[in-house]
Amino acid sequence: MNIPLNWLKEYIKTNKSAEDLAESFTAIGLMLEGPTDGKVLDLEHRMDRADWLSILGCARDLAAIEKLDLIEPERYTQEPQKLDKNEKIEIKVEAKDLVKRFNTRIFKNIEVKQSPKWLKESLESYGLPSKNNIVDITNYVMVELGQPMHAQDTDKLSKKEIVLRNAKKDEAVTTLLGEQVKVDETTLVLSEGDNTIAIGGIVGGNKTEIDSNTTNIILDAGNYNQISIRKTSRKLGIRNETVLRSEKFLHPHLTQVAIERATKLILELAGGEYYENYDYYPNEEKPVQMDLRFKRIEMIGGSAVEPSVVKDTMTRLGYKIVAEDTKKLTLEIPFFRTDVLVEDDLVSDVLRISNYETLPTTMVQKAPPKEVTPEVYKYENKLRDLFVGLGMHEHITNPLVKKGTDETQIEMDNALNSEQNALRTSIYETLQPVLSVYKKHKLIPPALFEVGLTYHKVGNSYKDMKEIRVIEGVLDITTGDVVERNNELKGILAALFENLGIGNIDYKSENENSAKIYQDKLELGEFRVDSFTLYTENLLKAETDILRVKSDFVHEKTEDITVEVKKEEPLGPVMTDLKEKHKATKVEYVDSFDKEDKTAVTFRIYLNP
Amino acid sequence: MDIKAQIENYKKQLEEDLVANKDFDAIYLKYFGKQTGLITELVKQLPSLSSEEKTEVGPLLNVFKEESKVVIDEARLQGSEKRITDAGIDLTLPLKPKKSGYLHPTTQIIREMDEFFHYHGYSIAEAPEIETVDYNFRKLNLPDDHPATDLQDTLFIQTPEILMRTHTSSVEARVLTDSKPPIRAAGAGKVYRNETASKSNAAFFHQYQGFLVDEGITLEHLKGTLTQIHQFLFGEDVKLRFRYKYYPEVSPGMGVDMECQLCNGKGCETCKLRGWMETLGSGMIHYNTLKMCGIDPEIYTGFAFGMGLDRLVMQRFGISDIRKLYGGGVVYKD
Repeated sequence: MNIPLNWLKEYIKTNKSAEDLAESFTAIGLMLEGPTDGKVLDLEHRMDRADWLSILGCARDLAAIEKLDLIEPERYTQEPQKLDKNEKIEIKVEAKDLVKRFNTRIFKNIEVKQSPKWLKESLESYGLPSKNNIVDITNYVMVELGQPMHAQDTDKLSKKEIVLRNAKKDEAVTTLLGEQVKVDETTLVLSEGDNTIAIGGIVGGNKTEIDSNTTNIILDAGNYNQISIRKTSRKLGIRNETVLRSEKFLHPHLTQVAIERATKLILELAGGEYYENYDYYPNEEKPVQMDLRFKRIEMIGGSAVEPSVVKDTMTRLGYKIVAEDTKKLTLEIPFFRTDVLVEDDLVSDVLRISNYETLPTTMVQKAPPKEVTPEVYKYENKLRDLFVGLGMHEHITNPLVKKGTDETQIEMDNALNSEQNALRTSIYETLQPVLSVYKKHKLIPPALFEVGLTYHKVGNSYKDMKEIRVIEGVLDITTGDVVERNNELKGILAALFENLGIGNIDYKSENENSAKIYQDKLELGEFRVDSFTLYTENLLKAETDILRVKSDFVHEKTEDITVEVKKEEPLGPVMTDLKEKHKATKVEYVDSFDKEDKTAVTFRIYLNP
Repeated sequence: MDIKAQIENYKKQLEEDLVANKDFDAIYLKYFGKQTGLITELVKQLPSLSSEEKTEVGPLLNVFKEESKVVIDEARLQGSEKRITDAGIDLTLPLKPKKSGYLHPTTQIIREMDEFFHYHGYSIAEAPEIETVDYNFRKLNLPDDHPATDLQDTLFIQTPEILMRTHTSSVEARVLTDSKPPIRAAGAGKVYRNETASKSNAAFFHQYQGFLVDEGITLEHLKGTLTQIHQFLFGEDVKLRFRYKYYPEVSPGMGVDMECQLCNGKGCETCKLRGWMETLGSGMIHYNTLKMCGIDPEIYTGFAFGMGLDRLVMQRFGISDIRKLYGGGVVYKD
């Protein structure tokens, strides 16, 4: 939100510099976005405060922290002149769920001309161009009070009627900017006769626009269904000053305030007379009251705040004190504070206006509760350290991938990016490509690992979607001997299991590409030629022999034995046989060499003395 | 031979032994062996001496005994065959180190943060990344179609109920629902946005969340905790600014800025000429959130904070593009 300082000073009298004012704004929730030229402040606006999209709203909060009086803009609050029914413009609201209020007034015999210098300059300093006095007044009041307004030439209406209805399918509207947009049934449009004259709360049309010959106008201020406005403007891709405000939670009462303010300015700058017209407002929203307990301020803020200070702050912010006692204030929430929902929001007002910087800084003194960090979290960290110690590099990759053929893959419903429209079902698919980054930089890729989740769906409900904790490792097998590289990977796993004390590991081939890793019936993971997957939670469940420290040193005897086996015979069973035959405690593979059609393999057997 | 002469004699002998022989265990046994050690033998003779001799020889023998032990120990320390300065040991020759892997930069920062919070009595908390709109929005005081949901472009799996969590506040909603105060929890997590990736924004990134619920917890405690975190991460002389900031899941909300350490608050490109860097969002957990999670907000109060981790990681490790951080573009020095 741009705040021109000259404009701001219409409502508060201060000689403070732009920088000092920016500091106060920042403290109360309107942070200075970028550097200031000393004339305009660009303040960050969050989504809650509709009144902070008005200069008066920002000025009110600034006045509260600066302890200055707020000068409210003048309005013309006298009743308008009566008008015969046949001279009025009928307001027909068909889209009842999209319109909360549609407040109108008629002006006759006005003179459309250039705006005076102050008005032009004000709008330009905010960043809006000047058009003519009437359009400029509607824009000025919108920026000043936050209520979008709209003026139309009544002589350009073909019927004395404005209809607010849902658009028809593929209905076309030409906007004030001369652009043609197509709308659909969810969109609110204003129409007269056969013409669509505006998209409600979003943009006006050119059919009834004000020009230099205009003398009679209808002025409207509407309050619409914010959600619908937000969705429609997103769909149409229209973002403008009107949308910015009408999509927020504005109060319907603001339409009346804005019309009275605009009336004052129109009579001053364009002359003419003003008349009543219809005000569609079927469900009047009454002011809300809320209690503010002094105790609650202390409970949230930490220190008691003097009741007189609380009262002063709340009054400055526009709250009306309806009742009070020693424990609490009963406050009427000002209509423009549509953000206030709970008592703590009132507490927030007290604390922010007293400035967070002034609050003491205290450490929590209480004894901490029992630690409940999940074991598996700690275990994953241990595994990370072991893999790093074994020479593997850790990577983190994006779990969002392009949808593949896996039926259990979870797909996104609204992904903007078609390269990232599903979740990975294995880390391999996102980690393996990292190897090529190393190769691109002419580095020999080390073994890589990633600790993370894979995502799977079993059925179609949320409960059937599973996140599985895994650690996956990959190794480049395109350089060097595949069997040797694979042995390296298996060696890493062997060292890991050894260190974790997980024994009795079995590799059982599942298909020609992968083997499952088991301890008894517990599936620990999967092993492939160039990669492995470990299921962390199962690893944690595995039986471990953690007493791996020796205190009595038994000097085992070793003996090397060479056996001849058939070529490519698996060596695992041969080693099991040797172990049994020699009653050995351990058998290790030492070496092998081919001998005609056989292979001679040397094993080292360990025997108890 | 009298004992005094024996002491002198053994002293010489020991010196010679230490030069001639490097088997220090054997030398030790020769002098101090329980049965036949030479010095042990001398000590055994002490009781048979007259009391005058005892007062003269006793102290001498004791000193000799202790000195000899020290001499053997010193020789043992110096006695390894090779000295670091000997020829053949070239201290200037760099050798290829035995290969070790590296932890990902983000893991390293997460561990630092975890350590801080663990020290302060927080448990590490986790929650699913595939989340319901209940835990990601509604319980955090973000009713359906609230304008603030626009702050976060949500990636839906099944619109509008199942989504990829947009922030780690969902962890807070889960923990508050599943446990009773006092609660202290913190932790990092991946979060997702429906955005096209750029240098500074990725569709997935990391947040670090922390929250504490107990009796008597106030905004002052939040200020205290956040001050310490910043000192821990950025140094003790870090300059902070606390200001009101709206976040739907807290009331009151609080934004925290750190004086830009590159320009010392003067304003530079990195801090967008503000002089301040926004580091995290925080506040007192919303009354409605506590209530919806089954905690009585009239008895318990609590604070919560969340920060983006990736910018911190990128600054620390000098990485300019977030896509590199998670696209495998982190290549470790070898």
